[in-house]
Amino acid sequence: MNTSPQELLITHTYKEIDAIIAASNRIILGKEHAIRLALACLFARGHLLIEDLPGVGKTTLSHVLASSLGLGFQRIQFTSDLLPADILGVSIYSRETGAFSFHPGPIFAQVILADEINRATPRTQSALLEAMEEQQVTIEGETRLLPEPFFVIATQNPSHQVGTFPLPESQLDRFMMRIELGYPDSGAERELLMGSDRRELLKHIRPVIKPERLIEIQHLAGKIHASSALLDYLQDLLEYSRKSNEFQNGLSPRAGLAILHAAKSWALMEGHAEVLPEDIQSILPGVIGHRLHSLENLNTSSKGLANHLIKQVPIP
Amino acid sequence: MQTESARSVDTLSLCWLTAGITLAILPHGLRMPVWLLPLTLALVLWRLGGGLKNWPLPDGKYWSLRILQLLIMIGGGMGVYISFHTLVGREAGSALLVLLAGFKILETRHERDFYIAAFLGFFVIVTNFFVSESITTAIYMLLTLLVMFTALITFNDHNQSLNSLTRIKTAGVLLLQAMPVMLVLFLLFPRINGPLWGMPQDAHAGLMGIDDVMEPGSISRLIHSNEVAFRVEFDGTPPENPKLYWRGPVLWYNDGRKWSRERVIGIEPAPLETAGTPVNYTITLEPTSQRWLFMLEMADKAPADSYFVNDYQLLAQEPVNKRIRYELSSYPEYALGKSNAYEIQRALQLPDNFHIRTIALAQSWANEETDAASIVNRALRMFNEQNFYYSLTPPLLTGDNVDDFLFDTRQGFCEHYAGAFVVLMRAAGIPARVIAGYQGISFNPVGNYYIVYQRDAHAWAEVWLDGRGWVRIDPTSAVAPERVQQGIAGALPEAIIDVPAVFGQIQLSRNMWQNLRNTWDAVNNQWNQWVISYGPDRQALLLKKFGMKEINLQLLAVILVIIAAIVFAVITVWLLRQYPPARDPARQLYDYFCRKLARIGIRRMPHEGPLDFAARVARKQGLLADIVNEITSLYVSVRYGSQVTKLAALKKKINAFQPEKILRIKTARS
Repeated sequence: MNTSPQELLITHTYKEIDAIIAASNRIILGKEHAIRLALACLFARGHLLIEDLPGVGKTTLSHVLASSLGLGFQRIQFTSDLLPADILGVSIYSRETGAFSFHPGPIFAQVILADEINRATPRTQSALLEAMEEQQVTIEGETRLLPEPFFVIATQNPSHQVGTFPLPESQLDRFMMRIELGYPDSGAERELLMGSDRRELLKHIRPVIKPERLIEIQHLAGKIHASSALLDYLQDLLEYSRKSNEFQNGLSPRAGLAILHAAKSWALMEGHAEVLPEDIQSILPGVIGHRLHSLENLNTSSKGLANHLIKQVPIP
Repeated sequence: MQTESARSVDTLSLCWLTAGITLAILPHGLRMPVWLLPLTLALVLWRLGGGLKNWPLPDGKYWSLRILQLLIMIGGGMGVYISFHTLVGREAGSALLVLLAGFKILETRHERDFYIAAFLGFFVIVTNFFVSESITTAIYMLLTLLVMFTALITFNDHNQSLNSLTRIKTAGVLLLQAMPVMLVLFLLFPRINGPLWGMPQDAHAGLMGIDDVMEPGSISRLIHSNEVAFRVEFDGTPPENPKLYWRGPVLWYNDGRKWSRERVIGIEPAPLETAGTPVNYTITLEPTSQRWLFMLEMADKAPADSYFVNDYQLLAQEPVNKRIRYELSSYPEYALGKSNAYEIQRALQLPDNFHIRTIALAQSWANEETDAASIVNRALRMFNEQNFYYSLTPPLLTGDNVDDFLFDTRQGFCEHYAGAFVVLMRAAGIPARVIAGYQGISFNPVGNYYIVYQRDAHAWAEVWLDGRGWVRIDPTSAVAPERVQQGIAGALPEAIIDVPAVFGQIQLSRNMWQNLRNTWDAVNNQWNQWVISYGPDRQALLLKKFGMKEINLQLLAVILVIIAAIVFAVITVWLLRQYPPARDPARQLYDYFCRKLARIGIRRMPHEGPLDFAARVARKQGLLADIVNEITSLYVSVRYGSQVTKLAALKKKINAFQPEKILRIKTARS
């Protein structure tokens, strides 16, 4: 069979991505699926929300991703007294030059870890979210572009913990995916306990690819072919979420786009030249978990919801 | 891959097409010159042989065969010309069409030929109605149409995904869907006067029936005919059988051998004296291609487009070339008391040098008897008392047919008796004439109407008696009174083959047969009235039933368009609801593939993606892994990668995929 240049490119990229995953796997043990989803989100130019208990490795995951991709990394610890300027930056009058000079905030980095985002006030949250959405910040009438690639990983404590401002639905929708890390299994836990300090390991990570290459991969992911048959399937899924009366609200068109883009990235990571229904099924828990709420309060976990949806909608 | 326009005709479609066209030309072929049908069928067979057995066909490869084809074509055309002395007209045109259909089939190679041949077939179907408009023809042609539809469906079923039964069913559904439109068009389309199809004038040539020339055998030959001459609907009860004389041509002239009509111009019919109550009835006359109309003796008013001539013959303006209906009112009690001198003189005409013995006998009666009435009675008495027999198969008369009959053979049918009687009367000086027509009726209880068959044909006489005028005398009744009392079936039961021998034995089956035949005739009658003869009058009648009194063509056209639009809209909505959007061909193939796997117990779940399913199959039946992966990757490229060019490969692989066989072979090997 003759292979097109596109297919060659896909095969090549697929191998590169495998190397990234392998590198990350050495540090974050037993979380390959989460890493894959996070990468899919990154390749699809989406932003990631990790919701889990403290201490399960959220920060480490962000670090690993940034390091293995050679990206600049900033961590912002969200607290209840954090102000928008603390994120975006401020203009300060300089006596020497006699003019205001802009001191960029931590948001001007390629990978940002917004830790415990739901502990900040809604005003600060929305400053971050607006920047995420528009890939630029406007401070004092001046618009500044954010670096590229730009990837936000926000972590969130489960909303039942005290002292939190839970993100409203509309803000949640801006995250392409929400994943849970969960506790490691016993084997991984044992290895974790026996092995050296993760932070030490992090320092030794060498980037697998350069940031420019990441942008190329993002472009390639966007070009993965989605046939009309595949779009039919996607539409059937959206339709079901809207018409079945099993959910509080159906999936929004933005959710549909998020599913498609994430599925394209996933297909690339699987080495497919085209998006398959399986690709959609694989990323579905990540994409719909924070968007759909079951009315019957059953299967409230992301996985349960996604599995239910998948089982109900036959592949056309 | 062949392009669409050059798509060649597959053998199966060819078989259906030839079947349809053969069915369409068969009825034509049976009426045509004997050589035509075998020649056409040979052409069809040649093409079939080419398709099925790879016989050489006349095309680019075999130029000698092309020349042969050309020669046959010229020969066939000349044959038609020689047989019909023309190439145009109903008969010759049909013959040519049949021949051309055969040639078109022979040269059918590609899509375009196929459609032309199919449309030619449809045209041949239509031309069959030029010859016959009966129900049987209609049903037969409907079946032919079904076969033609199936041929078209087969040809368009590119990957032959349907079986024959489904194709026939689809054709049937198509026909049924066309029915409402057909009915609306038939009922409401503005009609012109005339039969369903404009029949050429020669359409009913060679029909059997009463002729205006009578000689021995001319009426008795009709006795075996169970064909309908006309149907009668009476208002109320019909008169008794002995009064049912249906008057046809009046025959005046005797040339010594036969009797014939004599046109007299310029003499008005004498006024009729009537008594009693009239009988009202409607006659539906089958085409005769003659001008005379039959009526119960004696009607006083001619229906529209017809008139009485001097001898009370009812003549239509035009020869009756189509079935016509007319209403009449007759007085069984009548007198035709007046005549004129010329008529009286013509009614004494006798040929010279003929009937010598008869004339001598009549003249001796004239000398012995004093008045005309006793001469008439004497003649009737002779028939009654002497050895005269009423026979369907009288001995052949070689000499003077009246003399020989009266003095030697003495066996005859009504034409013998009527003829001889009139000669006797004229010889005795009594003006007399022969009347031809029908006598009697048969009731059809199913349709509640009466039928006069050709076998009811009869001939009788009218004599001029001073003071009484023209009086009907039926000499046959003197020999065989039962002929008039009970009709022909009563008089000659053994001659009337009313019921086939198989049914004739038992009364029950006999009744069943008669019932069946009555029903068939009733259905035919309705068909004639409402389908064949559905003209402006019937249409107006029908519309009146729906409350539309005044019909004008414009209104009719508007109604027609509205109804057609509604019908099409309903059909469209129904179709859209009935069928989900057509499935992707790759998906259809993949479903087929999944069905094959389901046979060995591995069923794809509706939500299971192709790769997941392939992986599961590999887990369950490792032996199938390779082929299933291969098919799956092809399917994925076609359906999700939009690489349509791989569809053919996918089809081939899936069609060849036999999981049971692979498992069997591989298991056996290991």
